[in-house]
Amino acid sequence: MYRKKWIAYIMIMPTLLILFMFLFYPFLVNIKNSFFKFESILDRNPFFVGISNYRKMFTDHIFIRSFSNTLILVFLVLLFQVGIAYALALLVNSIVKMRSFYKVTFFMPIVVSATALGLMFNLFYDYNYGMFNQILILLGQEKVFWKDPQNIVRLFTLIVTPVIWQYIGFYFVIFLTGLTGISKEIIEAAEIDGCSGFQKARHIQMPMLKNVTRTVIILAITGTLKVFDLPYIISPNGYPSGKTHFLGTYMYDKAFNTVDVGYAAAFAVFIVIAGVLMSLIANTIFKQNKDLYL
Amino acid sequence: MTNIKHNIIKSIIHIILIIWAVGCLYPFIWVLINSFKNKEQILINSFSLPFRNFTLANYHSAIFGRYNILKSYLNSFIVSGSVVILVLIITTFSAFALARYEFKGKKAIYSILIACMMFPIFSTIFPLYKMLVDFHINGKYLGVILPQTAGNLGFATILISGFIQNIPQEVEESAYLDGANQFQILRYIIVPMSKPVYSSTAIFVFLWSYNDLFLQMLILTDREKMPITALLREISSKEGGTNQGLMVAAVALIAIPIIVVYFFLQKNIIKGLTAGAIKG
Repeated sequence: MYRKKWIAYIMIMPTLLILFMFLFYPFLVNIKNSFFKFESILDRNPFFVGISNYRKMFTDHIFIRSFSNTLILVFLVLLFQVGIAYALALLVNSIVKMRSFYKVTFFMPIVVSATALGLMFNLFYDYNYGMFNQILILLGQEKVFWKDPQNIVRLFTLIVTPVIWQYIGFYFVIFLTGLTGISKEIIEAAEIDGCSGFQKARHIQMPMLKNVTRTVIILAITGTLKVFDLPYIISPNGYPSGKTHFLGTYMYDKAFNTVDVGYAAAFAVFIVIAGVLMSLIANTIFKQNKDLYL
Repeated sequence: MTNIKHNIIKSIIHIILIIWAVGCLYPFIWVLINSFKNKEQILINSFSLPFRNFTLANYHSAIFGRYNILKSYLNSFIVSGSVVILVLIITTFSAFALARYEFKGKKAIYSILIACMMFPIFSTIFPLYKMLVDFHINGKYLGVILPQTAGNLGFATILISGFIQNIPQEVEESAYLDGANQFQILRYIIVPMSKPVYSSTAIFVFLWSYNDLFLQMLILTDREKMPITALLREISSKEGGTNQGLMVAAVALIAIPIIVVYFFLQKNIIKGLTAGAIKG
C-alpha cells in the first residue's frame, strides 16, 4: 500500500524547503558572516576579517561577563529549577489527594509570556508601589532600593529568580510523569523490605529516572543559553554598563544597538557550539551505568 | 502509632506543596486586584482587595488610550493562528510520509528535523532579517509567520509522525483494498485518528509563537501591527517607571486571559507543552 516512494518525497518536500530556506540557509550564512565586518545590518559588501571576530570575544570583558553570567545561570537553573522540580515531584508522587490541583497550579507560570512575567516582577521590585517593599513595611522593615546598580549580586538575583521560578512547574510535570511510570511493585517490594522514603528516592527512583533526568538537564541547559526576554525586560542593555548581560541579550545589543553584525554572528555561532558541547557532556555523564537498571 | 506519624508526614508534605502553590498563584492575584485600583490605592496598600474605590480606569486607559491593546490581541491571533494552521497542514504530509513510507534518506531527514530544534533564533536572525527585507515582508505579519512556522516544523513533524506510527494499519489496509488512494487514507483515516496529537501540537505551537518576543519585536515595529508581547514591551519602556496603574492593567490584560484559557484546557495544555520532552 505504501510502496510509491515518490509520493513520500513529494509530501516531505514542503517541510524541507521551508526548513532550508528559513533555518539552514540563514544558519550557514550566519557562520559565513562571522568572518566578516559589516558597516550596517543590511551591508551588501562586508569586509573579510578572518577569525578576528572570534578573537575579539575573548578580549571583550562584557562578553566574558555575559558568558560567565550565563554559566552561573546554567548552574543555578540545574541546582534550583531542576532540584526543586524534582523535590516537588517526589512530594506530589507520595500523596494521593489534590495531585491534579498541584499539577495545574505549579505549571501555570509557563503559559504566561516571559515578557508579562518580567513586567510583573518589575512591578514587584518597584520602590514605592512594589509588592516586596510593601511586605517589608508590613514586617516593620526599611524599604529596599531593589534595582540598586551598585549591588550587582542582588540585581543578578532579581533577574534570575523569575527565570528559575517560571519553569520549575515544567520540569516538575516531566519528573512526575516519569515517577508515575515506575511500576508499583518495585516500590512496594522496597517498602516491605523497610526502605525509607529517602532511600526509595536515592536508590530506586533516581536511577530509574535517569533518562528523564538527562532529557530535563539538556532542555534546561539549552533553554538557559537562549534566555532573552526576562533579562531584557528586567535589566535592559545589561544595566548597569553591561554587567547583567547574558549571551542572548549582549548579542542583541551588539547587533542592533552597536550594529556590529559580524561580531554578533560569531557570538551566535559560539552560543550554538556551547549548547551542543554542554548537551553532549550532560549526555555522557548520564549515560554511564546504563547496565545497572533497565 | 505509625498511623499518626504517617498523617503528620502527609500534612507536612501538603503544607509545603500548598506554600509552593500559593507562590505560583499569588503573583497573578496581586496583579489582578491591583489592576482595579488607582495609583494612590496601590501605594497605600497593594494587598487589600479592591472593594473601596474600585475602578476600571486602568483598563480604560490600556484599551482606549494611546495603546490599542485589543488591536494587538487581534495581531497576535492573526500571527499565531496562521503559524498553527501552516504548521499543522505542512507537517501532516511530512509526518505521514515519515511514519508510513520506507525510503532512502529517511534517517537523514530525521536527523535534520532533530538538528533544527537545536538552532536558537540568534543563530539565524541576521541573514533572516536581510532575507525578509529582500522579500519585502519585513514589518508584515508574514515576516513573523514564515520564520516561526519554520521554527516549529521539526518538532511538530517528529511529534505527529511518532503518533501516526502507533496507529494500527488494519483500517488503512481495508480502505486501500476498497480502492481508497493515499491521500484519501490520509484525509479520512489518519487525520481524524490523530486528533489528540494535533491538539497538543497546536497548543504548543500557539503558545510558543504567542509568547515569543525576540522576532516579533524586531520584525513588527509598527505599533498598528504589534502583537501583544511586543506592545507590552513598548508600553513598559515608555511608561514602566511612572504609570503603575496602566502597567498593572496591561500585565493583567495579557496574563489573565491566557490563564483563564489554561484552566479550561489544563490537561491538554500540560500534555501539549511537555509532549516533546516526555517523548524524549
